[in-house]
Amino acid sequence: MKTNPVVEFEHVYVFLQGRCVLEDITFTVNEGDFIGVIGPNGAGKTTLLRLILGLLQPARGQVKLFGANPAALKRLNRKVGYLPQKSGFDRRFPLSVKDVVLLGFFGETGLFKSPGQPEKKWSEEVMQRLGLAGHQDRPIGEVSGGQQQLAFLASALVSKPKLLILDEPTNGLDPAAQNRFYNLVREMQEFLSLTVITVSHDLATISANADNIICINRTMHIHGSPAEVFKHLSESHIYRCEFDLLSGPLNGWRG
Amino acid sequence: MNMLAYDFMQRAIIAGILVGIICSFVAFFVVLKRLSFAGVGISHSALGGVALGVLLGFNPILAGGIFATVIAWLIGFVSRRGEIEEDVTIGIFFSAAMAFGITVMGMTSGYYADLFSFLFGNILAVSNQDLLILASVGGIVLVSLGLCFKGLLFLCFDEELAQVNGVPVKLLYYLLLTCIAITVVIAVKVVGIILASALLVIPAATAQELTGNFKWMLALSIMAGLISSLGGLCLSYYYDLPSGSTIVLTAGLLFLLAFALSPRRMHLHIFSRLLRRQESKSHGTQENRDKLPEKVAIH
Repeated sequence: MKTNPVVEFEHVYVFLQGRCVLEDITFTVNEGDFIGVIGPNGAGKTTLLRLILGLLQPARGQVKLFGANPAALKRLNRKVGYLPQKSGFDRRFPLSVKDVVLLGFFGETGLFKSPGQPEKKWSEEVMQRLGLAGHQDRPIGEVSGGQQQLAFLASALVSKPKLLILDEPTNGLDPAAQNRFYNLVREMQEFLSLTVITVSHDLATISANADNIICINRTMHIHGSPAEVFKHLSESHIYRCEFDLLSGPLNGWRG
Repeated sequence: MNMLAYDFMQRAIIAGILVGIICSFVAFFVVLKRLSFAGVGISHSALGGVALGVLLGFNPILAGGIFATVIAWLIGFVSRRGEIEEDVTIGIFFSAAMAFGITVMGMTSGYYADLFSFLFGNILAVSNQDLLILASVGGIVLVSLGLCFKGLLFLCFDEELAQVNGVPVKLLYYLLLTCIAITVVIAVKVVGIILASALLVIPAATAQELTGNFKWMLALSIMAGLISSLGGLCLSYYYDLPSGSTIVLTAGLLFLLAFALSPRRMHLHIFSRLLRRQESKSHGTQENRDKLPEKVAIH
């Protein structure tokens, strides 16, 4: 059932340091959707995610997450898993893969409680599903880039969110690792009945996985199926130079 | 002569133990949040408050504490709100606060001797009342940081991710800055304003050289803090040297030793292997403990 709106944008404007970063953005993401947000570098993709996460407030317009203002949502009602764009953590940070995954329970346990046995058991199951079982005791800085991203994904998923937000999650991964990553996201989407929003500037990867694509470059250009978006982009002279990254072969494109 | 025979040395040892534990606990977060320069800035800025306290006849330590706390909050506020890099903000506030302190010192001729004891510390002059203040205020710092340990660890790891997960990042950031300011002030008697920041960095940096596990890092940081303060105190007593400098030098030597023995650099070194084996043992024990209730539930 794709009827309940999870994220709603109504004529949203964002200005950062006096510059208009997002202009008149309107769209709705429904329960169970897998949405890809694409656009060139500096198009406002991450800003859009920060609005959904409540880390930014729009200058004009309205952003709703589960029908409420994201910043006003209580910790326990947020139910959002977030995988940041290549976390800039110190590679020597003394946390193991398992420690990072357990941090994902913070929204449920709060500041003073630690995850109990059921949480630990569930985190092990998630790590197992994501192929991290053999790496859980290794320091997070010592595992490969792909495994780090999977650890962050597991951390985002352990709290059983309703919405999973991925910010350029496959940056720096080779094509095989990218496919593996999105296959796992797809599996977890089915397993946990997730709504997924993923941001990328790589149309090939996104179109192979997302049901719908939102194309932005400060303002919103198109919201539709991968086939519609690709047709629109290939016909439009405006995007040809801006979206030169999109001109590669659309491997595995389901459009 | 046995150093423990003197009352003042007994008090100095207790002060050394307390400062060693408190500073190295705070240092754990200072190093992980990369606030080393903030530690230097906040500790040096205490000079302004101490000098003002001496000039106005107000308790210099308390004045230094309030001043350092205000400067710590200003550093945090301006760097977060003003979109100015944290190191630039620290550079501005700490030099301005020190300049203020030196100006005030110029207006208080005759009190230089006192001010120098604040700058370089005098552990042998620690009174019973000082010990009481050190233990109670230090206890508050340890309890506050201990209660918020998980949130602070998350904040140090990735602030944005922590915020999305519901960690009160602003509150914890200012709590950490406040704890740094308070710790500096309670360490002033032992190592002085100039060297207090060293104890807020070196023990945890030493521990980070030796382990990739946060529990071990905290334990090793506290051990390094204790060895530094007690070792430095012994050196100071037997060689008649200033205690603040011998404590920091001992901490520096421990860091060099850890740097040389670090598992990151000497993978085949026996010490590193032993530590790793110990770590994996503790992980294994923890895992077994985790699994036990599950097995009970199944049967």
